[in-house]
Amino acid sequence: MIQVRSLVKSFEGFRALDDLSLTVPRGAVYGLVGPNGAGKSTLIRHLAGIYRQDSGELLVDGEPVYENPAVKSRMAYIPDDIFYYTQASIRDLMHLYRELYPGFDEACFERLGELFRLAPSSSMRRLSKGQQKQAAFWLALSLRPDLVVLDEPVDGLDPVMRRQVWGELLSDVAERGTTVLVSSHNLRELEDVCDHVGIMHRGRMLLERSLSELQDNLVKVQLVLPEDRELPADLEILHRSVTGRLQQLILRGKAEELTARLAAAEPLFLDPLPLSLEEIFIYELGGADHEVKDILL
Amino acid sequence: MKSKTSFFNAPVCKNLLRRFWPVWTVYLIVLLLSFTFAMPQTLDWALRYNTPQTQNLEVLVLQNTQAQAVLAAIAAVLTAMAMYSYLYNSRLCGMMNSLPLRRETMFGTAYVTGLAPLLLAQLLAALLTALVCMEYKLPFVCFLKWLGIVVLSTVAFYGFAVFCAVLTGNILVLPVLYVVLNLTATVAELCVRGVLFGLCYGSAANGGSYLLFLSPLAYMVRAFSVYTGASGETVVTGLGMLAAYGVAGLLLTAAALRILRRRHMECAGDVVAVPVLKPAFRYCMAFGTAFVLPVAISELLNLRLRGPALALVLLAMLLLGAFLGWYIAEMLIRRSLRVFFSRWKGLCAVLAVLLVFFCAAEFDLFGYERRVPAPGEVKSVTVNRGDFLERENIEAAVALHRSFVEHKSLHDNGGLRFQGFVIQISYELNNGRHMERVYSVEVDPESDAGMDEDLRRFQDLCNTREAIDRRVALSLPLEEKYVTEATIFCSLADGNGYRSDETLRLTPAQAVSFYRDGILADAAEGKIGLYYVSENQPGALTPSNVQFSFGMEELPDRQYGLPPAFAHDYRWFQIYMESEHCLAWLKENTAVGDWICPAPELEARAAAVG
Repeated sequence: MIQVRSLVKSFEGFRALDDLSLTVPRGAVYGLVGPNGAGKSTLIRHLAGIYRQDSGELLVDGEPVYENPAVKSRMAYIPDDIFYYTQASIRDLMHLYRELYPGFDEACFERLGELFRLAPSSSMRRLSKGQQKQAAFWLALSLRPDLVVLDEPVDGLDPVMRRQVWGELLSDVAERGTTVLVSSHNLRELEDVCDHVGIMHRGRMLLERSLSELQDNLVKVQLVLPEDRELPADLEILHRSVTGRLQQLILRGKAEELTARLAAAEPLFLDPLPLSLEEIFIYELGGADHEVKDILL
Repeated sequence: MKSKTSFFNAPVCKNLLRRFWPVWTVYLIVLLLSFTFAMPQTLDWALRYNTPQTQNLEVLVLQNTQAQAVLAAIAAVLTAMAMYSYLYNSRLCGMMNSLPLRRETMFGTAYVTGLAPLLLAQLLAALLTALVCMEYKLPFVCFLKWLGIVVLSTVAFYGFAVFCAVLTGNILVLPVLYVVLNLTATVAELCVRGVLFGLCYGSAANGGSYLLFLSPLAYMVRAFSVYTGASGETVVTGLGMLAAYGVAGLLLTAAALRILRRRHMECAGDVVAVPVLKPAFRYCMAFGTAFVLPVAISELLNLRLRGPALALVLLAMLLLGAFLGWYIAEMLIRRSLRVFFSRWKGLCAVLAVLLVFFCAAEFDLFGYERRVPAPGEVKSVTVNRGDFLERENIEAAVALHRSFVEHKSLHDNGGLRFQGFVIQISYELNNGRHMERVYSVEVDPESDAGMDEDLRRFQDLCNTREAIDRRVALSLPLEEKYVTEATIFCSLADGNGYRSDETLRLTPAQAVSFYRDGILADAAEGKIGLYYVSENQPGALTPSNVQFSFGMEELPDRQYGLPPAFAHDYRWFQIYMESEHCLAWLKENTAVGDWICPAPELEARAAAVG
């Protein structure tokens, strides 16, 4: 669905996107993760057709997005910092979107009205930040888009509303094969909804994998070794902490393979633990920050 | 596959209209107040008081276009600010550019949505005014002309405002840029002339502006005018330039679209939105401030320096101005105060250019100060509004000019403004070119003995036969029917020394007689129409006790349906004790003639009694 190849964007000498490449399959929920200043929002603004790249290619279904209304009319974009005309009401915006987006579904708009419980006549300036975000989702989902691009989308939404919004989005993905690209710092949330993850750092894509593939590549284990035993020599240890005789290790490799090798050291206790996406992010990116080159797979 | 290009989108247009309707509403109200409601009163007043324009009411209607042009200039920039506001806020910019619309669609929609209501308001005002002015029987085409001029102004200024709108990313900078670019050529010319005036002996600080046409707003205020011609026809000056502005407005709109297509939307908020213009902005600011600062400081502090001190102060201010302009521009571009010592190479280049300019002007490297035309090169010369065509007088004017050049050390009294008596010499050369020099001479009104040699030359030139003849020659035939007023003011003293002021009103017949037998006769002998630089000079007898003012007007003859015409002339003469023919006429035809006496005697009589 989305193909980004060697995208470069500089702001007065600062390279915000540095030869960035990314691929999002159709129907995927792609989580874009990265620290502040990684270039996530810049990439998303390119995807939304706001920015023009210095070089490289950005395609949606094989077509460039920039200055291409045909592609943009199949896309819904919710920025991190929402802006609507202050004096406009939700209904005013609905009228505008209905005329600009051929896929706008009025019945869907009516149905979603029950979910969001906002009065269509509400002026945007009278809505709280969270309510404005709800209005944005309401309008975006009513477009019946093929691609949804979300930049830090659920900030400001209460937990119940977050769940409902994600539920609507994911049902759209399941029913219509909508592709979703979402950037977020809320790694736990992405873990629940994403099936693909891209980790960005300093304008580059550090890694891009499906979530299961990513989780399969790092292993967290707790173990206690006998006093005369040591860890196998060639283990790739990303993190090690020791509490008494209990060691906690983050290792790179396949879980089965590493468990088998550790078991060969006849540990008194060995317990493989699941890694959260947050832990994967911290250890992968922590390595980059400390210039551990071999973090790049 | 890309969608085809469209320059208009109705939903966005509706959205803009819904959001910004107050802008056009206010414009319409001001338009109605300043034209529709004002015009009947203006016409009524003209007819009631029988002003010269009474004969051509169309002129009054069209004269309103000058104010409307200024109003259009203001409305244009406010409308552009509203229509293109999506370029200045990064959040709004993001929202608008994520919509499925091409940039040219947004641009075209904003352009049309902004301009159309302005033009509609003008059309409405023209129709309503034609309606309320029906009783004055003005032809409808007169209002169509008004509409045409106002529409042209609006297209011109709106195009200019739209062009400014895409150059900047900051909505507050837009009106500033608009005003600055509208006036920059004129102001720059004024400031460069001001600095040259301080550095170049003989150069004029003021005078006709050669670059006025590059400042549309200033041009519309200063050069565009509507008046009644000699044959009573409506004359509109500057219409061609206005049409050129209209075309320029459209071209600038096209240029704005090209710039917008390439514009980076991340520049929302930047002072300069087009990266390639950032160096130009720095250089313009540096040179602009360099020339504005000396003139501004001189005006504020009323500097009165001369010689090397003046030159050094000017040089210091030029360089300081360039430094400030350069780094202010850098601060605005970077939005940071920590800019000093960056990009110093460019600043050095600016300072070097200014240094070369200073040296060239101060040390007269191009021979500007020394240049005096040979009398044979000169077709005509004007000295302080006195025109000279006779060869002998041209030679005298050239000699006067040469004398000023030779006496530079005496007359170069410095400062950035004229001090003393100003003498302006303007040549029209045989090759069609013009040359102008202006000098100022210190005059001591109390002293006549020490009168400057050059001033004496100037006075002699002003009292040549050619100059006097021009002063007494009338633009209308000397006939009674043209005389509108003729008065003689006398300050008299009787035998007892009592002083009184008398004003005699002459009949047209008397006026013609006095002018022919008195004024013209004395002028032929060089006894009237003389010019004196200082009042305390031999020959300037009784300068203040008898004056003659004479007005003439040619009014239209509507009775025979002749084309309306209007011409007028007004003269004022000081009558001296040596103006024998005038005094003889007064003695013969009035009761006051015997009482006229020289001013000193008058004063002495009054003093003796008092």
